[in-house]
Amino acid sequence: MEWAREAAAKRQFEGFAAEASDTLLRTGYLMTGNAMDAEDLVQETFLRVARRWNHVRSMDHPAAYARRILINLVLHDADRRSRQKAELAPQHAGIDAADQSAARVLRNVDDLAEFRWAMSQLPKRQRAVLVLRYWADLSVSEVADILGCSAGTVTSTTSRAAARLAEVLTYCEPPATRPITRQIMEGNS
Amino acid sequence: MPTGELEDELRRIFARAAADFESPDQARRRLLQRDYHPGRGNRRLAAGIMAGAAGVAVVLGLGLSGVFGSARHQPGHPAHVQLAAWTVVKQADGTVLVKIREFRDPAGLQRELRADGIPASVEFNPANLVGKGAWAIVHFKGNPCHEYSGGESQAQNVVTGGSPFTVGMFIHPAAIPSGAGVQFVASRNVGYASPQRDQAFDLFEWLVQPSPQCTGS
Repeated sequence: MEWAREAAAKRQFEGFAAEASDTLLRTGYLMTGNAMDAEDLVQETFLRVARRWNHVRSMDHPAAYARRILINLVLHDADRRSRQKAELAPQHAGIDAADQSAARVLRNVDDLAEFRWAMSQLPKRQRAVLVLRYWADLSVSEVADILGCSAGTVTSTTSRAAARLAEVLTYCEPPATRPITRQIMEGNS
Repeated sequence: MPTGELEDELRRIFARAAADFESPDQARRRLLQRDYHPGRGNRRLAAGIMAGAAGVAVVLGLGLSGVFGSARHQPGHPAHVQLAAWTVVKQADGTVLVKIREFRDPAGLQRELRADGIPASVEFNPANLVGKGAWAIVHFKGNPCHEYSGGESQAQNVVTGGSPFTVGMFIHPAAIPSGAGVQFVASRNVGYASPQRDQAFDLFEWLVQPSPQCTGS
């Protein structure tokens, strides 16, 4: 019976969504620094997963598929909120010393809002690499698979991202005030 | 690759930042209350989230009452309704959720907001824009509303939330200063066009002085 199949698929999807939503929300939050943007992202992710649910349900790891969608939504979304920041040139000599310094900077972060703001100053791919490596705890090859690049690129991007994050935390300050009016840029289909 | 020490610090701070997510339970609840129609195909699902698309969407199960265009939703009725231009849902805590799909019927939206206790004025696509940018739009020629003096720091607490087309924006009546109202002005053809979508528009809200035209009293 068609309705029975649909009802079963719906129940199964709802179970998946209930289980995956928390991790996806937090991943989206780390990627965007904003709770409502994270919710937007997860909603869009669920819509896309639902669209292909008959295929996704047979996967070994539907949650990993959903995470891939979410990351790619951030990466491929029209960059409405900010311009893509230019990536820093590769680090120069003294990598270990630089890493020690960066570790110290991260250790001394008290204000997580400042950290989120610093993350938002990174190019999206750098952000994605850090979130996938250090929040989702994925291996270099898994991250490379999601981002569609080589393991070497993931490795170098990770180093640049960590250095850039520490640099922003050290030398930059978030804006002190917010604008009076909120501007929302969207597009009608 | 960063050193082990740096990697440890990165893991630590990401764990802290992820744990700092405020109200994940409410967000989860909102997300799980939507009906995603698994396995039903593309067009129908996309209709629920794309602004301006015709199709079927689900009523948010958040509040006590909802308004869709000019038709008031009856709580407990089936979730599927024809999409209207906008949806207003008053929640149990007094917060009002607004979702916009099309820029139509601003007078109707203004009326429903006022009925839900928001001293609001709504203007879609005002004529005679004075140039471009936020201030040009809210200061369109003939705008009967004037900025509420001293409300700059309070304005950002009145409307929160994400895109009005997906999650919706939340209006907090309690955050509106006494003697002030809020005006929403949306305008197409300014700003920039998104490469992925046909048109772009801006939506602004600001606190305004009370008057019959702007706040209803």
